[in-house]
Amino acid sequence: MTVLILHAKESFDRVQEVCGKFALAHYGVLVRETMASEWPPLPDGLSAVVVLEHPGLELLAILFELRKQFANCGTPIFVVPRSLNRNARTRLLAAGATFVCNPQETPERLVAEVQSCLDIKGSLTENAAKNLIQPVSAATIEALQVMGGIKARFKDLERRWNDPGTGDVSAVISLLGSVERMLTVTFPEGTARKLSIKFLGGLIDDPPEEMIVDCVAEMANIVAGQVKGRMVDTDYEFDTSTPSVVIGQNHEIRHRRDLPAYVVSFESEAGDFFIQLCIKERKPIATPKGG
Amino acid sequence: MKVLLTDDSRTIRILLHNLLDQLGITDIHECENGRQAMDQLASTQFDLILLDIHMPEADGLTVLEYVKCDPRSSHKEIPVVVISSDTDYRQIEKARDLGAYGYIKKPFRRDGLAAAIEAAAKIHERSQRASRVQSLVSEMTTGEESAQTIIATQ
Repeated sequence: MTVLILHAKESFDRVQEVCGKFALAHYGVLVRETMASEWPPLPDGLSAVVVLEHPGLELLAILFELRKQFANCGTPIFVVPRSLNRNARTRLLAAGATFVCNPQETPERLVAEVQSCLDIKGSLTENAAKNLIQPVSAATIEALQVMGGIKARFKDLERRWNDPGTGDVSAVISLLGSVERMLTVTFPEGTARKLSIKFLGGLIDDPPEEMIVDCVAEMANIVAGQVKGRMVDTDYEFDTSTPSVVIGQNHEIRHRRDLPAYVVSFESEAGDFFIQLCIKERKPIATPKGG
Repeated sequence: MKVLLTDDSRTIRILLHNLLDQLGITDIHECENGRQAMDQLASTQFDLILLDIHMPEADGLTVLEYVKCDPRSSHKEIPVVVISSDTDYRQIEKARDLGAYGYIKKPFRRDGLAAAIEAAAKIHERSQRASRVQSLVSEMTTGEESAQTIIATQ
């Protein structure tokens, strides 16, 4: 597999580091110094493109060129910008980046990011995420509307290696099957409280903590159950555990370090919250040949 | 009407209890797992059972199997309405094959659930009336036979 690294002029040291790590991971590496105004001819048959440390507007122009060139190939484009804020990430994804890495991403993490996309059955993990995220979003919106009369909207989707986000009440459900891992629903305290009051139909004006915990767990149950039903007889079907609930101000739920988390954030009448989906497609166990 | 309500979520139990109240059903026994439900069923006669699937100690399908198939069960003819977040069609089929009267998926709308409960309650009432009529007919038949026997012997 060959990775193309497009770097800005002043990034040469970083490029050496990154190239070294890719070589250790047995990738072929091609390096090109790039400016949007001077577009080099690009080779065919690339597994991935890494666009390293270009300034903002330059980066958008490069992505535009890359999208033209690789539109029909499905070649993933990894962008490591010089700086990043929330709006910039959204703009880069809209401009054609497949993945937007953090500016301070270590070379090891960058290689792992590319590997998880390419080595695990040709980015089926990404497909698994796509196949699951839309049902999760739909199930969440439906659960809030039907059980609590709360209108909610999908707000954002991010793929994160760390910093999944913090909250005060989280429900965690394990997913077991061809897709394996975890679904977590995280609320700030105020949102969880309003959610419980609505879920309980106003029967309890000031629900105690144990009721809030129960409501959050039940909501996670309902979301997971809905998604489970939609995934039956597909490559992504799974079974679920009963939910566990974590309470603590500004806590963070992290899953495995070698797997990215898909963070789906919502806005609602009760407040904002997010769902974290961390998934790994399970590889089939090789059966020994008979002799 | 006496109802057994089994769900490990207190939120759901509160909502269902309130709904049953509004339907005029006030004799409600709550359980938070399948084991408690089976203990209650062994000692008390209910007219309607509302049952979650995924619960600790014994799940809803185990309870349903006990109710409908176990020779010790006195609730074989009692309607069971399953209320579950599991939308897997295979679970729904299992519940149906075991004899569930209905399967309501969560998230549920109150009016839909109320309709299912009322329908199950009516079926049970009709079935009880039919049993009473059958008993009366049997008594009358026995009485008639006895009267004929008395006439014959006189």
